[in-house]
Amino acid sequence: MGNSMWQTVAGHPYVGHDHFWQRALSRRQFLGATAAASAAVATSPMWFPALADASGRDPVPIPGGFFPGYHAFLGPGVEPSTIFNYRGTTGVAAVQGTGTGWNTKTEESEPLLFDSDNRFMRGQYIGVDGEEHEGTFGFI
Amino acid sequence: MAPDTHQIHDMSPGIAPSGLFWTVRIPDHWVSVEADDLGEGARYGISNLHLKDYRQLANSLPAFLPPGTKQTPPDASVASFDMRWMGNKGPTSATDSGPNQFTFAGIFTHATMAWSASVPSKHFKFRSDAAHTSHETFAALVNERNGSFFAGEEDQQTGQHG
Repeated sequence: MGNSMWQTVAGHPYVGHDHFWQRALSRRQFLGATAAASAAVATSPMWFPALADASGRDPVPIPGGFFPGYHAFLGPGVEPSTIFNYRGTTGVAAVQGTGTGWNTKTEESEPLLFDSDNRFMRGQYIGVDGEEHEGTFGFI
Repeated sequence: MAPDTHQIHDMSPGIAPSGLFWTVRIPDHWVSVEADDLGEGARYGISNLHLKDYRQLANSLPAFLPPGTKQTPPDASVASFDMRWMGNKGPTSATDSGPNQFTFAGIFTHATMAWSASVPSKHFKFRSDAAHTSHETFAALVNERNGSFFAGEEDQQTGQHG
């Protein structure tokens, strides 16, 4: 199942959560090309996301999706967020571009293409505990 | 993307046991946006976020793996990015008052992104070119309500003034 699968379904009309996705689920995808050179090292403290919040403040996923349990739609007219019982501001952006990948062991490098779909959601939501909370979330 | 390309990395936080899809809580200060003035744009930056590299999209979606195929365990990865939404390419809105119950209104925008990532176990690092060389295929900023917030509220602001 490669990119062609996502492209095949790209033109399917979207009518609610229970239907197949409207267009390609764009992900950050590196796509091989030819050679070039570059190098850099990032050094700063790591930040770990909390996938599960024991306090119950986690948001709940939106029911349904392009497959049961997979709710993520991209494009005009479809719901951009991924959390349910939510009221807030959402930013969605599918961005493509270029860059350089390299092997830190061999120092070999190559130019790469990327394809991303990142979003933020900020506002109020009802958590799994049934209480209203405020928070900021990233779809990555 | 060109038809002769192939995917070699696919990074996400994974799907939480609750079903929350590629979504994680992030610090508030990683996002800058004004709900009542979306035309001013937004900025979204993450710093050294621990993710998982599933290598290919299909491997990150277990339900789509062919029968008998097991998900290949992802590699630990770390990514940072700086995204910006800017401009106003026109209004966007939608309302689904059926069983899905969501409504949003906002604007289409431009967007750019610069980012970097590493997969230590694969000795792999990546750095994008400057943000201005990237381009959006779709970008929007919206104010949205769904689920229990869908009904019984005043019409939401479009956030288009300013």
